[in-house]
Amino acid sequence: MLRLAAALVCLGLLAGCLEDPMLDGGLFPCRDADDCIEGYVCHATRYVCVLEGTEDVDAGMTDAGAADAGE
Amino acid sequence: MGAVLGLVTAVATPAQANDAVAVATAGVDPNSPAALNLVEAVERGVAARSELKLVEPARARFLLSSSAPQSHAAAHRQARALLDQADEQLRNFQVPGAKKALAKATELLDPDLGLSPTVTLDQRRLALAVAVAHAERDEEALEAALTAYAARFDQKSPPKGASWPPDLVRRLTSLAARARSSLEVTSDPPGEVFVDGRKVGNSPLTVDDLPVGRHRVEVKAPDCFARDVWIDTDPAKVAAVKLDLPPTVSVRLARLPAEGPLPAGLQSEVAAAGARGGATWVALVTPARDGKASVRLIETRPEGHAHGPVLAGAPRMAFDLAWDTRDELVAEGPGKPLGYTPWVIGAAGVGVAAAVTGVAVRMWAKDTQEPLRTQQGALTQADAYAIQDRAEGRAVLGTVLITAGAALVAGAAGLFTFDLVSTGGK
Repeated sequence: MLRLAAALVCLGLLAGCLEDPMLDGGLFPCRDADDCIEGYVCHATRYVCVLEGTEDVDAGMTDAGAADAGE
Repeated sequence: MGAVLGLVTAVATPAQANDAVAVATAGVDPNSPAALNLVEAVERGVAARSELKLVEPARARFLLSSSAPQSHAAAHRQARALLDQADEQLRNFQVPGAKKALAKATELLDPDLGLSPTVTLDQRRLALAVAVAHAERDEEALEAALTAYAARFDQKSPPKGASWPPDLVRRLTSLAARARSSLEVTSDPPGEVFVDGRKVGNSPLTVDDLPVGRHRVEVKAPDCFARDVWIDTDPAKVAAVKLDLPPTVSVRLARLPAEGPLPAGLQSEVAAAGARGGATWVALVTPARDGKASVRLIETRPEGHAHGPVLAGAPRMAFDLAWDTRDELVAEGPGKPLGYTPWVIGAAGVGVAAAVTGVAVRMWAKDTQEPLRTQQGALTQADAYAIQDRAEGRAVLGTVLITAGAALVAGAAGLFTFDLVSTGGK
């Protein structure tokens, strides 16, 4: 029964393993600030959530894109 | 076989609760021919009954102790001396002394009053009680003694040697001529019927023409304990007495520590006992002087006893059955299951159910995340994070359920193992 208990735990954890949907850093469409979580704002022209204080940066650019843009 | 000797065991397992078996040997040299015969006889006796199982090893030890009915001969001798003393004192007009000696004699005879061994003594005692009460002018005691005498001895005259005045003899004659009564006696098994210590026939029978009053009825049968009862007869109706006589061969099994030496006084009988369906089977083995043994099987139920076959002629033995149901054996024997089984099964079941629910909840949590994958780019950030929060909450709940369930299963496994070890792996 000890083995059964261990198997139950493993099976349960494996069967329901949550994936990381990579929420951080993803692009989310928005219409206003309510569509974004705390710390993010809705970009006025591109309608995606961006980190507060980075509204001036071209929204929607990835870090790589931003790096390219800076080059 | 030798391993069985010297051990007294009782085993009742969760899986075989109906096959509780006790095996006992005591006071027997394991290497003696008699001992080997005893064990073989037990095995034969047990084998004769499929519901009995002879088992090793010792998890419980039972003491076989004799409880043969005690002889009251010494008390009777003492009572006789006291009656002599009372008689002498009465003749010397020492009534208080006579009364005191009479009271002591009555106390000594009390357990056997109305039974065969005390008929003569009881008659003397009552005659003296009448004389003392008369001397003390104690009308109440006199009436009681005369009534008891008339009922028990059905005589119109006092016993020889009793010096009663004429008015007492007249009263006794009057009492003896009172209405008569009838008594119906039945017994299982049938036996000899004694009323007030005198044999009146064999049961079933009806005793007519019995003096009205209080009588002691006793029934005796071979290989059974005699049973008796006091009964008040009435001329208006037939008094009925039914007595069940327990067999004299049974065992007293007292619990002993599983380890350590057997106490002194252990009898040299060997018994195997099994229980099934509310009945206990007891195989008694008696060593005979010639080194052979005999086995007697007895079925004992709460409602009575029945003899099984006697595999060889057994000397008469007298024991009391201390326990006679499986439940009692299971409850008292050190080899009993610890009673965890239902709880173990219940806990394991709840644990498995909790863990399965936990798995389902975690899978539900995974499903909750599905929109994050399928609607990527269409969900707002607030909605996406809300979905993730819900999924994580459900995942935590699932994890808690799985952990709790696994803990229950593990605990049940521990209890089961403990139970298994404590019952010797049976």
